[in-house]
Amino acid sequence: MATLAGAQTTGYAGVAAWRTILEWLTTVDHKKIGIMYLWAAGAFGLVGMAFSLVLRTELMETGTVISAEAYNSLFTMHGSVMIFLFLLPIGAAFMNYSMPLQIGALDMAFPRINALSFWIFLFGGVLLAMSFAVEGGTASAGWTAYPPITLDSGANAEKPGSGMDMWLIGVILLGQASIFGSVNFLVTIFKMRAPGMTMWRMPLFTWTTMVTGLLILLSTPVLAAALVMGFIDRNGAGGAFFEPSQGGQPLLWQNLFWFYSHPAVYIMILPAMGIVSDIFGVFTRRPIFGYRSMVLALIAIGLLGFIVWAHHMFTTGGVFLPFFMGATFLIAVPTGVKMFNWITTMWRGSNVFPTAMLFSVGFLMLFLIGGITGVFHAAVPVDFALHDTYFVVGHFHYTMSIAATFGFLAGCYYWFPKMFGKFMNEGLGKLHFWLLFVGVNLIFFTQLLLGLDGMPRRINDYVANPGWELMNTIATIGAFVSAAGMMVFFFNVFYSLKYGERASDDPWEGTTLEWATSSPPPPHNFDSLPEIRSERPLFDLRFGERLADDEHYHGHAPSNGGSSSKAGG
Amino acid sequence: MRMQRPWRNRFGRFLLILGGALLAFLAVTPGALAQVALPPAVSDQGDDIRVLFFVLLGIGVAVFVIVEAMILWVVFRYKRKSDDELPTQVAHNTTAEALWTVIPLVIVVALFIGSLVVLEDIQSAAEPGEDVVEVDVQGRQWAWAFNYAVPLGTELAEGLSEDPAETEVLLRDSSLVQPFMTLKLGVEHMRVMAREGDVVTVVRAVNGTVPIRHGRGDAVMRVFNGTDTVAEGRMQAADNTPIVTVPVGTMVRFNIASSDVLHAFYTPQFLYKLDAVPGRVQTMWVRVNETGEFKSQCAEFCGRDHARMIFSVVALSQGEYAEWFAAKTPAPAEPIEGDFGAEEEVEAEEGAVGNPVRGQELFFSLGCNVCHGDRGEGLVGPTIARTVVPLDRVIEQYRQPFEAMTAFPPEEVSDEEIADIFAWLQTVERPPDDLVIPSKLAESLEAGG
Repeated sequence: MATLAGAQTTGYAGVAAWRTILEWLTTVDHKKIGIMYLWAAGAFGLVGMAFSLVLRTELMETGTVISAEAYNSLFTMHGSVMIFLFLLPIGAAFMNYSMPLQIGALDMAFPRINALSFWIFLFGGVLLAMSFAVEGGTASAGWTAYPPITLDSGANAEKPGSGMDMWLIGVILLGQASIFGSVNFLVTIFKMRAPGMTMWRMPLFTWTTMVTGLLILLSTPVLAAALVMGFIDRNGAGGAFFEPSQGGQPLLWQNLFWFYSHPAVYIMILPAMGIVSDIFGVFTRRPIFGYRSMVLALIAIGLLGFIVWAHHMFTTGGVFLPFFMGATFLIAVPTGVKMFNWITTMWRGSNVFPTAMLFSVGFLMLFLIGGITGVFHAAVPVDFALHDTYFVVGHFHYTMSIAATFGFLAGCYYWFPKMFGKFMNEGLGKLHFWLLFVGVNLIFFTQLLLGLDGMPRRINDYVANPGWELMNTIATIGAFVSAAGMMVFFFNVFYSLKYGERASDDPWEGTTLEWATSSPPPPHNFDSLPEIRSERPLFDLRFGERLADDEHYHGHAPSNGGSSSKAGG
Repeated sequence: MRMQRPWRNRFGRFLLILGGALLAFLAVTPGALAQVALPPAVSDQGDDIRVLFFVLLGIGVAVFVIVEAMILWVVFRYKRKSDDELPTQVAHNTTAEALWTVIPLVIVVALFIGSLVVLEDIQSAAEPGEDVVEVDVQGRQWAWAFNYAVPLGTELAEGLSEDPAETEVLLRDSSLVQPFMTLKLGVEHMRVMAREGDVVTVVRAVNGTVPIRHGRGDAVMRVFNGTDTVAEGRMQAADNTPIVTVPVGTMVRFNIASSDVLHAFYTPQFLYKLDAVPGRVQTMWVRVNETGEFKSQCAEFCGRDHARMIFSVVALSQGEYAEWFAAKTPAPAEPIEGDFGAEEEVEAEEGAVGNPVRGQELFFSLGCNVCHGDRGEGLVGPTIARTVVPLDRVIEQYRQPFEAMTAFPPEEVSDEEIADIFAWLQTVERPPDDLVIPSKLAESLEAGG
């Protein structure tokens, strides 16, 4: 029932292939769009990783391999590609694919806008990639693009060329794609839930999708405004927004930029948190501990995320320090609540550890390091020492880059059978996990130490400090070990698509609705829906009778104390 | 139920081996161990930050060990024994959840208060009446200049508006003002061009600040460039490493500004950095408590040669500093009778293409002095006094710089104006050979014939 329509209608293979391509190009099916996001994000992630290998090769020893200009362009594009073209869209990929299935919806609320969103994203990504080809090369002002180095007027000695304009326009387009996507997610969650799927019965991944959608919707327009202002400043229209010689304020950009980009780190990490929450719920056979406090912590993180942007600017002198320091410290509290809830879910659980679960445990271990190092930055005096050193590079990679990537990889292993009806190879998966886990710690723990020793970020050479060579060499080795791990992953994807073991519709004994339909699901998602009485409808179906006497079972079902709901089906 | 031991399965053995290898590695590399903490602080402010850092490190390491141990415990201890095993379905526990909300909250509130106290402490200024060394730090692509300000002993007789076009300042007593002296009003540096009575004509020098309003009675300071340089440890494009010299034990006030893009003044041993933001001046108070030389560098990405924007802080004992300061300070200002400057007729040399007086004016207003020194003697940039490079090649150097010089397009400085500067540079004295900072451009021209 899930085969592609049209494939059988002709015996001529060329026409069939052409029709398949056309179908993917014109699809408005949230599952196909989600899978396209996944492929695109994966490809861009590979590009971003290749850039990082060049950067690490340059830093392995003192002396230079590539020019300073090339290094600056590459770290700019490493950040831009990884954030705008890998982490944000891979979150969108899973939110597209899984969220409508998890709430028992037919599709997204606005399927055509959903398709438009994907194609705008792809176009923006291609534009960024093409900026390498223009005269003067691509942007080289860092992914944060702080003026005045982005401006070709005023006292700036570097006059960035049209690559900078392409960067600005590309990111405007990517932001627009995000905004379209977020409206879609929100309306879908608010209006398209199946009967019985109350808010308090939504899977945690759906909750994170909702909070992420709100963050995108409220913050991205601010970034778009800043980007347009930057474009006006650059193109001689006399905006004088950021150019100091015309009375502009370079710090205005930083405020606007971080008003988006701090919430953006939660836009990247929250979906990953949602994925591992769902995975813990499945592979422990336990309800996620403190479901309601998980949701409240999520909302608290989202709210606090909007009032801490200036902690990126502590050393600029243009910030009211006590407020932003206090708000930043507070984020540790809801984050800690989530961490303890996850651990307690596994405590006394009936745990199994397929690759998806390994990556979820890896997420916890890495995210913890990121969280603790974040507290160092929250304390303003210590931040004065550590800001813009490799300590901050280590910190943010542990949180929003590596922990988030571990969450998303867990999602790949977890939902792959649903998407393609086949398992990913477990042996290769475990090899992937261990290579990546060891590799990223070699990279980023050494970077924490380098930062403590005072090595600033974004430098292409450190001739004056040969003592930093040892740690940098270790980090570079770690980068290649991680890359080897990712190669195993990409091989595994292609290998499993062709030779993977067939998976049943519900191979993991899932708890949420996406496992109640076929693998892969039909275009209309569901032929029938089970009764939804808790946030774990499939668990209730499988074990409900056995647990009828357990006083704790359903004790948590919050909305109407276990009385039957208007179930669909 | 028998407890599962970590070494009983592959996952556990791997982790143990990994952890052991890491510890062994750290133990055999003292260099690695030395990097586990912040560098030792050499200032009172840095000492305070270091204390706060170790409090955070203690709490951080404790949380890290406890929580990672909890994760590993639940992973190794609770495994599914049989396919139909069903664990407890306990889904929440209000006491536990309240505890792990409130305890972290108490910890972060305590850390917040502690951080506020330290912040207040490191940001506090010198006591009133206390001796202060005032250093104006100017970052530019890709070098540093360190100007020292000393009181001139006079004040503004009339307020000065914030109009950058205004160039005339009325002083209470202008007899100490000498030609081409740099004055400091508030945070602004102004180059003296002419004097008529007590009216002094100035050009606003490039020290990266916006004009601000000054009131009657504001003190006037005299500024001199105190940047030392050293050739050792030089990096590829920077000809020399600029040095800022400070005394031990005295409060130093660094006024941090930028003349082009963002930079950051960062000395790891101060455990402190502040950004240099064009259009702003930021204050960093430091009381250095140890002599020595401390390698420092720009910490905010500022374009191509960001990595080469290094500098050193040299801290001297009070006595040595007084000697250094005396040697560095130009002779105390002597009263000059009569007017000078704009009204004087310029006697241009016969055959000279440029106007040296206009050239000198431009030399300072464009900020050439920041890198090349006030008389072209060379600082981080090469010596250009009486340069042997021909004028047409000099003009080319402005347009498309060889090595790390800022490019100047024709709309900022015309060919004629470059000729003026060139003409002035031919009138100044060239320093003795052992003090000349070699010009790579001149060398390449000589080598190429």
